Amino acid sequence: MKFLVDNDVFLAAIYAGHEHHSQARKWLDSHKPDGWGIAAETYLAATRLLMNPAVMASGTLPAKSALLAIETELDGPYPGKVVLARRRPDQTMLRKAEGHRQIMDTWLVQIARDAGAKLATRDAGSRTNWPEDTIPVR
Amino acid sequence: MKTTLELPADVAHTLRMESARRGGRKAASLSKLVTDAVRTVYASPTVARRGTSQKPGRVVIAAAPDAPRLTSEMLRLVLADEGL
Repeated sequence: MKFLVDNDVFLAAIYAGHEHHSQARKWLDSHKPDGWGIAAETYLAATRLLMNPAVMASGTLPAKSALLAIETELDGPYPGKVVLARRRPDQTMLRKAEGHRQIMDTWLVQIARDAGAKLATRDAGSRTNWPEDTIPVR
Repeated sequence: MKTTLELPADVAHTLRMESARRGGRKAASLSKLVTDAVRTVYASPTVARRGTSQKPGRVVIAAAPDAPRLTSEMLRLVLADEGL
């Protein structure tokens, strides 16, 4: 597995209402053959977002449909892995977080690094703090 | 919401029979049967929504007409609010 896709990129790829849908869809389609996956945290985040009326309004999906959509994306000729953390959060990495929002970003970077992958992200903070462990999605 | 429905005789009969089959009005009221039927027909699979496509390895879920344009920032805020 070469890439671990972060929450924002994964949701943007599968949801046309995201501002970066076209770019994310194109990026994921073209990089899947290299080997890809999402963290279990991203799997759950996508499920919750698809079920959230603040995001989806009247298009809110029931759990069954949200899970089916995610599993269908993970299926196909280049199936994606669902990656579980291999060890506990690394304090050395987390101490670099500048504010609470970067905690989950850093955790995803750690999961990617431990899996021998790079985190595919649009997040500038993650790319600045962890240039060796991330790949920009444009 | 309380409302009044006018049902054709055959539909009303079907509902009564289904209710009886499931153990009567306490177990399966007409309201519950109608609710279940509407959800099944109108609120399921995303493929039913215009612009949505789901094939293995490539899913695109169309936005509902009343859905806000989702930004990366909004996504982060929603997840942060919910503890993820």
